[in-house]
Amino acid sequence: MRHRTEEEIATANAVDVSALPDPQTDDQRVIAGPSGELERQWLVVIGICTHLGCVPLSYKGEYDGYFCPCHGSVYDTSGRIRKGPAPLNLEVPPYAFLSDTRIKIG
Amino acid sequence: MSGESTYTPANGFSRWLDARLPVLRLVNDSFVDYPTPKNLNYWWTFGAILSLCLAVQIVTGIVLAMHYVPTTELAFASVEHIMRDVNYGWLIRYVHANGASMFFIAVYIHMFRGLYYGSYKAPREVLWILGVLIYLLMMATAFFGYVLPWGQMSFWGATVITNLFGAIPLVGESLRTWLWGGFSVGDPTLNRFFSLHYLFPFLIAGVVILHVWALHVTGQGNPAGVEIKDPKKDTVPFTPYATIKDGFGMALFLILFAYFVFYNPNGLGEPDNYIVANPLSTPAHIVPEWYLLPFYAILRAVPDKLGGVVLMFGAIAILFVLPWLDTSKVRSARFRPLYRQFFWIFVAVCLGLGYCGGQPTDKILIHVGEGGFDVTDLSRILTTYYFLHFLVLFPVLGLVEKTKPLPASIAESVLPHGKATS
Ligand code: HEM
Ligand code: FES
Repeated sequence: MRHRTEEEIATANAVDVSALPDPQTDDQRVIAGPSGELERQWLVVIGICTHLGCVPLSYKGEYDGYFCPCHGSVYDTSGRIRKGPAPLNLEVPPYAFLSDTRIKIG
Repeated sequence: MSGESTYTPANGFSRWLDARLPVLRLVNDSFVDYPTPKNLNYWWTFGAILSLCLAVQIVTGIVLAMHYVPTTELAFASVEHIMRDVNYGWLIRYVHANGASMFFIAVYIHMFRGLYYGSYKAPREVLWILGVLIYLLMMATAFFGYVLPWGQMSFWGATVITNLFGAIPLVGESLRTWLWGGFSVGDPTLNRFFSLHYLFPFLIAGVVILHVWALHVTGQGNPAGVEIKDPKKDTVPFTPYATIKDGFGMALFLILFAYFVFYNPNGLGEPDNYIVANPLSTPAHIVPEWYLLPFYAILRAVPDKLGGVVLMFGAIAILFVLPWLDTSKVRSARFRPLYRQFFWIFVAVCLGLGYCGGQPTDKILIHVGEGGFDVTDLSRILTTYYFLHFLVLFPVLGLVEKTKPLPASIAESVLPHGKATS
């Protein structure tokens, strides 16, 4: 889980989605909170590289998102795969906001 | 060569045994009177060195297994217990851990010897294929063994390698779960890896027997690459000539082995494996053991999951068909001026891949402006060359190369001119 800054959200939205290996907009990777608004500041992803299952390092790599030390997959601030051998974006698990301060994952 | 037996039982007991189980005859014909080409050089001692390595791994491994506990709770602690409390446990473990590396040093020299002297060519294709099979089993054994101490590299190595199978279309994911015995690398995985680590060396021993059998059917190759014509002139008996030479080779090899065990026991290993496995944190720089680095580089060179796995296994699989890719009639690189150069380029490419496998993928080697030529770029070039060497060079070289004249016989190749007939 990652509390993202305005800037991180902005860079995640600024990319050309069609050029991504696994095209998804940033908005498709976040969900709405109790207010009904998309909670863009909260990114929830499973920390398992979609390549061969290592745990990527946060705030690392060219896009300051995630970097997997095993074979060099680079993910952006939305957890989307940008470079390297991993085929898919970091998985977003099913989750829900119970209140403004609590979320249920799974 | 499997000629007629020259064994004559020396006494009453051996005559009695020979009529019931001719095992002494087998030993005599294989390792005593066995005709050995008289021009073998020291590259031919590595077969014996490899047998020694296997024996060392089995003996030290059996002792380690007496003290080792294959559970995620106790594995790491039991290895530390072996290192600190068990009498000479440190020695036994260091011999076993470095023994694996020494085994691979020897097998690589042995294989490159085969490539240089064309040992895989008819009639020795089956001999070569059995060798590649041994090499595969060795890699599997070493991988299982490396998981056992349950350090960080053990855990993440196991995770990555088992996930490779997840890349197989359709059945991949189920296969992976089946290998794990669960939903990630854990207790059941460690337990079965221990069981397999114990089993595989004995499979290797079995294939080694077939390998030596095949060797004794076709006869040994030799640096000149011409077959034995007249055993009297071209060969010497295995004992004492080859036994002494092999023994000397082994002694030199053991000096190197002892250097690592006593002066640099962790030099070939990774410090991170002395940190107990933590499924929540991958070490920042993960690398396999040195002997797997070239394949690791190939895996990382391909920007596609399945593609990387296919090429990595393909790099080994291609060795199985090598006897049919090489079109040259001449075996030894001594008489193949072009192949001899490409052989050394190929050695350099393999070493280069090994280097790439040990470096971070985005490390820049030659700076150009902002970016530059990085390890991934180099791995891609070397991977391409690796496959071209087999798929293009081997078939084409044999057709276009003008080879040097072969010696008429082994005897002629070792004796000064004119003396060969004496
Ligand atoms: C082909 C032969 C073999 C190879 C290449 C091999 C390789 C290895 C390797 C690389 C390790 C990890 C060493 C470390 O970092 O600590 C290991 C550990 C181990 N092996 Fe083997 N091994 C072989 C045969 C055997 C046999 C025959 C046995 C038992 C019957 C055995 C039992 C063990 C045990 C108990 C460990 C864990 C203790 C330790 O980590 O030192 N091995 N092996
Ligand atoms: S496991 Fe992450 S890049 Fe291979």
